[in-house]
Amino acid sequence: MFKKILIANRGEIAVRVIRACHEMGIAAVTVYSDVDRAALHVRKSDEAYPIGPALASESYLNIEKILDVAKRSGADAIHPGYGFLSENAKFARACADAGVKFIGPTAAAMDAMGSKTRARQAMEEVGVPTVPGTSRGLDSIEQAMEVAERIGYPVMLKAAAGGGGKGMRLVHAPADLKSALDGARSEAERAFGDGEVYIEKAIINPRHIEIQVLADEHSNTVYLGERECSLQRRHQKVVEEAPSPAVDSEMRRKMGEVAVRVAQAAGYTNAGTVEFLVDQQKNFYFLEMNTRLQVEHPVTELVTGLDLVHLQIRIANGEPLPITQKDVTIRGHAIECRIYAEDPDNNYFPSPGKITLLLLPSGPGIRRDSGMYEGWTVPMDYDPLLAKLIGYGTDREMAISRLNRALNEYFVGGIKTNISLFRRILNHPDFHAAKIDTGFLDRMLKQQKDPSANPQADAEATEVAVIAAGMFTALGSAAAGPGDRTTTDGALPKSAIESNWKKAARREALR
Amino acid sequence: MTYDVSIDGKTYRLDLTQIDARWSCRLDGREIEVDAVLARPNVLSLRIGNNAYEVKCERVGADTHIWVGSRRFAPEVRDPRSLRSRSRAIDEHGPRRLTAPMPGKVVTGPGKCSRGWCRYPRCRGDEDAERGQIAKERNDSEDPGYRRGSREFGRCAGDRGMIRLEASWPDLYFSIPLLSSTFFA
Repeated sequence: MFKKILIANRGEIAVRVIRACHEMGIAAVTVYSDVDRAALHVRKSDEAYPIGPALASESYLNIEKILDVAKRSGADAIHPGYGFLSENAKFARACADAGVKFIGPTAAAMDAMGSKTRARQAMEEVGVPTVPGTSRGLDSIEQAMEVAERIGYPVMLKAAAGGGGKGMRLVHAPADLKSALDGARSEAERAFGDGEVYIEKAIINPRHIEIQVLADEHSNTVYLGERECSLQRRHQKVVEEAPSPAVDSEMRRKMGEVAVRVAQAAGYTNAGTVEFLVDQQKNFYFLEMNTRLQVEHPVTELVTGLDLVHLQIRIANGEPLPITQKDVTIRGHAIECRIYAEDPDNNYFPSPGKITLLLLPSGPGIRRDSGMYEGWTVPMDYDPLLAKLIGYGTDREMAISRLNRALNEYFVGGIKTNISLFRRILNHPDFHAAKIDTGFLDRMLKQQKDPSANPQADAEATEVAVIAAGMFTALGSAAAGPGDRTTTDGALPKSAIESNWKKAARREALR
Repeated sequence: MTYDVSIDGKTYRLDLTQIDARWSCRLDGREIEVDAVLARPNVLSLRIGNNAYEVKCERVGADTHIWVGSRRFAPEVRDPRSLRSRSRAIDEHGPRRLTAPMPGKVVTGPGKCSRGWCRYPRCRGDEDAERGQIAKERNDSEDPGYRRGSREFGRCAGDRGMIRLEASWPDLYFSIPLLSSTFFA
């Protein structure tokens, strides 16, 4: 087994992998950029190495620096997490050349599946259903126009090297196609270094359902059930759950078998996810394959009882899968919320800053994968994902109620987060009824928030707030936290506990 | 301790007395049975009657929020007996030093900048003095307390009112602390 694993990532996923390493008796090595020196993953690891300035291209995306740390630390293997270099075939190849095991698929499998257009071509060859569109990048606006006319609007432009919603544009009419194509290309170039864009028919209000697959290096491949990932905002997943309320056991079997076929066609090993779009008639179409561990993997872990990161490490170590398809059972229901440092009152603009107070939920059926702590300053240089909060129960209703309860216990002070968004989602009748699709969140956000149905409760809360405000003022500095007295620019807050006028008067009186 | 607490445009009069660990509370004249413990910095465990609450105090930038459960409030707390609270001034920065080139008496002025008090071209007649305007010495030969000639004494720092410096108090030195935002600075 590996003695030491380098985690080429940051934030909550780095902490997640560190924990798996420690559980398996493996030393964890981390890297950090200048702004991440105080990050949680650094102090949770066994060895930590600085790798340069905040800019990702000069730190977490810098292959040379990462491999240099692997060499200096003596790491046997590298876990790439998600994002950054996790789906970079060049990095996987460089690891192999450096004699360090990459914990993930081979570079060849990444090449086959990492490009969305090449993946579509491979799927067409093995008879996997795909959404109508092109299997190659668009050469020109004229070609885009011609294909869009043929398949019918609305159409979706997508980055071939893309993921996470980047480089995607929904186009409703021919007049918008050129600007959308230009925008998608430049965003893809910036995000992935590859501006290739292809086109697909946009299925109206589809569900986004994905299948988790696991394949060892001995040709064994299994599927571990599905995840419902339809709740998205600007093509970024916000809430995920397993199993999907729209999928019965027969559909699960069919989708799972197609997913295994996809993985085998690509010669895939390790953990991966095959994504499908499902229309209202429950037809499913191959969308793409993500050749990495996904952000939402905890929901699969909770309903299957399997530890995916442990299994990734074992597969990379050359071990055969410890389970067969018959051993995989789905029990209970899990729902995950992605907690972002975003301001819901300002169009979800990122909200970096210092976390001045952190109250954490716990209790039955609650899991938290987090990279934050009280007193930490969230940097503005990276994706603002702070933590994932997952609720698990014997059925969907229980999972919802536990997650709701946990969200009410969760408090992140000092910055804005999207926690209030999840309360709205979990209390929405359509969410309870599982009437969800990829347009659900946009529709919900356009609705006015419901006025309070309980004026008495409002009056009571207001009274409590008045009394508490007076008490905090009366208690003065005794009530404040140690790092709490200044704003980010060093100025005293407007409602400083101790008045500057008072301080000056006191000084004058002492003369 | 007495506070005026404003939330959502409504102001409440709150009287709090703390004796050891116990509190007594009157809200708009109504006696309320309150028991409060500071569970940790910025977190109050509050009992009102037998109802229990976890109340958080959050400072974001220059704002203070009070959270009752998942509801957020942005209260303004004022001491009704303070001068600052009675005035419309909103300057929270505290004292600022005004350096004058010569000693003089600092006096308050009326709300508006009246002609003759300030010679700054934009500050005339019934116009309100603007922050940043230069305050000049009054040149009023009828008042023996005033120095002749004009001199810059500083810039208007408030929305209204200003100071003028007179030469009649030699014991005031160059550095004069600003005591109110109704003074020119």
